[in-house]
Parts: sequence; C-alpha cells; structure tokens
Amino acid sequence: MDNLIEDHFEELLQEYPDLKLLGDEKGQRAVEGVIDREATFKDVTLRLTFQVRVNIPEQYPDPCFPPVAFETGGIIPRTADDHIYPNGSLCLAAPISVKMKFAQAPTLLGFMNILVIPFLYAFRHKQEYGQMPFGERSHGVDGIMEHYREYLDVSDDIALISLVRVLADEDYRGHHDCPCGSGKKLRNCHGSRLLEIKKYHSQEVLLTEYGEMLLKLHKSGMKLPRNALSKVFAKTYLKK
Amino acid sequence: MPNELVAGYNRVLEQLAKELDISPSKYQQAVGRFNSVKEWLDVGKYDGCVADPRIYIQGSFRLGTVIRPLKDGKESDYDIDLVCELQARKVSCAPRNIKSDVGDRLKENETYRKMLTPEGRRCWSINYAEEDGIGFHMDVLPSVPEGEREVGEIARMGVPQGLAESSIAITHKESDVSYDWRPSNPEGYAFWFEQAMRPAFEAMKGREKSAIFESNKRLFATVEAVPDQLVRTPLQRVVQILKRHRDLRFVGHEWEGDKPISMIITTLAAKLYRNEADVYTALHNIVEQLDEHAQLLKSAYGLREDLASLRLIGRTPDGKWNMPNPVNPAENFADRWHENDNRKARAFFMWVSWVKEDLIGVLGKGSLGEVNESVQRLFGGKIALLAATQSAPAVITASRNRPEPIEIKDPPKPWRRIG
Repeated sequence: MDNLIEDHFEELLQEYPDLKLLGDEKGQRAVEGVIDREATFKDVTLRLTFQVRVNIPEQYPDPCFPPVAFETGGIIPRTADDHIYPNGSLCLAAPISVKMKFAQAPTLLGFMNILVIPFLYAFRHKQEYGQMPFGERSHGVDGIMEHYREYLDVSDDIALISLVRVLADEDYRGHHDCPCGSGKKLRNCHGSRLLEIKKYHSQEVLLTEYGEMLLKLHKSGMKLPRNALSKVFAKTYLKK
Repeated sequence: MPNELVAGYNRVLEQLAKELDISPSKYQQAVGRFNSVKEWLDVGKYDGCVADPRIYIQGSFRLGTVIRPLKDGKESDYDIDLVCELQARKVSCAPRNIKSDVGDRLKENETYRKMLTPEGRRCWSINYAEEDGIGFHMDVLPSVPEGEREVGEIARMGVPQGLAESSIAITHKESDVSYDWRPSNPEGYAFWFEQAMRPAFEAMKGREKSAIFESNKRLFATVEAVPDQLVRTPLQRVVQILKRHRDLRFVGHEWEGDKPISMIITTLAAKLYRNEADVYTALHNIVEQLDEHAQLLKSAYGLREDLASLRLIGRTPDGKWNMPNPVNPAENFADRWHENDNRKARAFFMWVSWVKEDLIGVLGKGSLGEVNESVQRLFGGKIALLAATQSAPAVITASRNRPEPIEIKDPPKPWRRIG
C-alpha cells in the first residue's frame, strides 16, 4: 500500500509542488504544505493560497474511508457557523457525499481537486463576494437529510426515512414495493440509488444516521408509519 | 486591531520563518559533515600545542538563525562556519603557521584535499556536493586563544569575564607573505545571543521539541534526541524573517552593496528582544524601536532618552557611527556607515522603514486572507523558496510557472456535524 501512496503522492506533486509526504508505514501518513492554485467556477477565478494537511487513513484508497483535510494556516476562522471544526478539519460535505465524490477518483490528486479545492474556493468566494457559490448544507442531521432528499429525489420526510430504514435493516428486496409510495417495485424505483449508498456506508453508520433522523422527526411530532420503523435499530438501541 | 487577526498573522509569520529555516534532515546532515571534519582535525599533530584543538560551529548555524540560501531562485549550498582553535600561545606562534598547520592537516586527508578550495583570507573551505543537489561549504577558521592582556582589556570595557575569555585571535592574510592576527569572539557572541533569549527558550523548549519529534520520527529516536539547536525562539524567527526580507528587498537595488549585514540585524534584534512569547509581538517591538533611531540621521542628539540609554546605535560628534560588538566593544560594526554621505546608515534605516511597512503596516490591509496574501507575495508565493530572486521581488509571483486554474464541476456542498 505504501508504494501506492507514494505513486499517488508523485502525481499530486505534479500539480501541487509545495506539498510534502509525512509519516511512514507505522505512523499516520499525511500530506502537508502550502497549496497555491487558481480555481474557476462559472467564470469566476480565485487564487487559493492555503496551508493544508491531508491525513491518509490506513484503509486508503478505500472510498469508504476517505482522507481527512485540514486547514492549518488559521486563515479560516474556527467559528460554529463555518464548515470547519475547531481542530481545523474541513467539513467538505455530508459524509455519504464525501465518500461518493472520493470514489469518482480515489487518489490524492482526486481528493484534492474534487473535494478540497471546491471547499477552499467556496470559502474564498464567501470572503470576496459574501456568499457561498454552490450553496451549503445545514449543520448536523438537517444537512444529512437535505443531501439524501436531493440524492434520492424525494420531498417527503416519511418517504425519506422509510428508504433509509431499508438500508438500516439490510432489508433490500428488489421485488418489494418501494417505500417512497410510487407503487413501483424497489428495483424499478429507488433501488439503484439505495444500493449505491450501501456501497459506502456500513450498516452501523446507516443505523446512526437513521437514528438521528428518527429522533429529529419524532421531536417534531411526526407520526411515522410502521414501514418507517427499523427493527434492527429498535433491537440495538431502544431496549436499553 | 482585532486580536484574532493578530493571532492569525502571528501564525503566518511563524510559518514563514519555518519555510525559511533549514529542514531537520538537512541539519542532521550538516552535523554529520561537521563531526567528520572535527574528528579528523582533533587527532592531528600541531606544533607548539599544549592540548587538543577546540573545534566548534559559529555563525548562523550556531545561533539558530540560518536561512536557506537562495541562488538563482533555487535553494543553494549552505555555509557552515567552523572554528578550529589550536591550543597554542598567541605570543609564541605566528599566524601564518597556524593557518598552514590547519590547512596541512586537512590536506593529509585524501577526500578533503580534493574538496578544498584555494586558500582564503581567513579560512580554508571544503566544498561538499550532496546527492539532493544542496551542498555545504564548510569554512574552517584557524585560530588560537586570545592573549591574556587582550582578554583583560575586553573585560575592562564591560564585557562579562566569562564571555571575554572565549575571545580568539584569527589569522588574516594580507598578502602571500604577510599574515596578521585579528580579534574575534564567535563563541562569546553565541553565549551572549543565547542569554538574550534564555527565558523564552526554556519556556518553549518542551513543546517545540515534541512538535519537531512528531514530524521527524525518521530522524530522532526520542523527543530527548531532538537537539536544542533545532528549537527556535521568537527572536530567532524574527532574525530569519528580517534576513530574508533584506535579501529580497535589496535585490537589484542601487544600494544592494550597502545592505545591512546579518551581524548588525542579529545584534540589534537580540538587544531589543524582551522575551516576547510570539513572533509578531517581538517583531513589532523590535522594528518600532529601530525605526525611532532613524532620527540619528538628522541629529546625533535627538534620540529619546530611554532609547539612547539602550546604546544600540550611537553617533560621535564628528558624525561617525558606533555600534559595538557586544562581546568586543573595540569592534565597531558600523565603522563604515559614514562613508559616501552615510550611505550604509541610510540604507539601514530605509530597510527598517520597508520592514515596518511590509511586515507591520500590512496588518491594516484588512482580513487575514489579504494580509497573508500580501506577505506571501513579498516572500514569493511559497515563501520565495522556488521563486526567482534575480528580478525584483514584485515580479517573482508573476514569473512563476503557474498551472492552469482548476475548473470546478459539480461541487459538493459544505456541511458540518453539530457540536
């Protein structure tokens, strides 16, 4: 795996000559240094000069475990409203979205160009013009739900949680009716999208996301039908 | 000024200085080269010597103010200055013999003989080419301990006895046949410099060493194995930044030949350092006080009393300048400042005003992003390491080979977990 990381780093270096590869087989591997590139979106070109670190997980380049990016120059303020944690790690997108984007090009260069650069561009754009150029997600479970709503193309929260329930229970059957209420079979409706999500999120992660959604909808007083209630979630978490 | 901006700018300056610094691996390589030469010189036989020679590093390597040398825009060879102090009595030996004894010993080694350059005025130089393309010039400075009478005189001028005692006499080649002694005290100077930052060093040593260890586990077995010489106090960082700023700002300037020497920058900064805990505050305080000295250009007496009492830079009634070497007051670093209508003095204060504008005034420019960009531009994108220095600094960024902008397609939307 080390040769692979080194090869990927070589490729990254072609476009970002001021980065260094840190760590060894035993320790945490990471890429660190200054990036200084221009990026363009809808004819607006911005220069991005940032000091960054990208932690490379042990499982690299498995898209289920994407790298983690940090802004280490202290340029991005660590405020609660921004998409950055106090330790400088960047909240590039909703978790499932990060994995899917990384899967498009699971290399260091791909991660940088597809995920990190757009994030830094958005920050610079907001500094310069006062707004986020590609929009942003709400924080927490709201943002996760926004992403799923968009990805699964449903507007109804009951349909949404019922679809996630299928994954949380590992209860995918192509010939079952799609829980979105379209009247079609799953395999002809939301099936392929659900299976795509399943590629990147383990059942454990899905149960957690499901639980957060459940809590959120429950708090808002929404009455949920039976096929929105996860048996595995009830068994694992509700007994205690 | 919002504290957040200052804190952010301080991080920018710290990072800048780190980029200018020698890397720990290159430092280790230099130490390896030094140790080999030292071992070789150690076991030589030198006429009239009562003990083994003392061999130690001096200059910016010793002071921890070394910056990566730039030549034609690339990191180039480092100079390591090494003192070879033969334990002979100054009164009973000739400078010419001391110089040739050390040179002969080096030439006895087949490897060093091939790497030696022709005899210099004061040094023997060994040129190391290294595999990574960044070599070392090791300057070996032959010397003997300074005579007792001279040491006594230096102590009488107010230099602490302990510092005065490390004075040496170095050889100076006037012509092929004529050699003379010159006073010097590189080790005393290093002690003096270390004292000026001792509290800051003690306060930060532990934290700094762990950080160096964490990012260089291939080089050091334990945190304790990280040498003191790799810890950098804000004073050392400030000197590094000032030295590079001077180099960049004087490139192509008509007064390039009169730019302030590193020794002056280092001495003044150390005298003004009050063990500030961060680079920005240290830089700010040092530069403000230096700038106030500019009125010495107009009048020898106009200086505020508290500044005058620091005895940093003085002027004599005949208009000459005085800046004593702290470990040998008879040596005046500013002995040529009055020449050509005070050109060196004017170049110095012009540079101080540049520093004030470029590195302090820049804070008024707005957001941290803008401040950062301005500093990056001055020091050349990635801090001038890869940039050309042959042209004026402003051109550096433009001349750099920039890849095409990245076109962003289908970007993800930023999110974050709550809490």
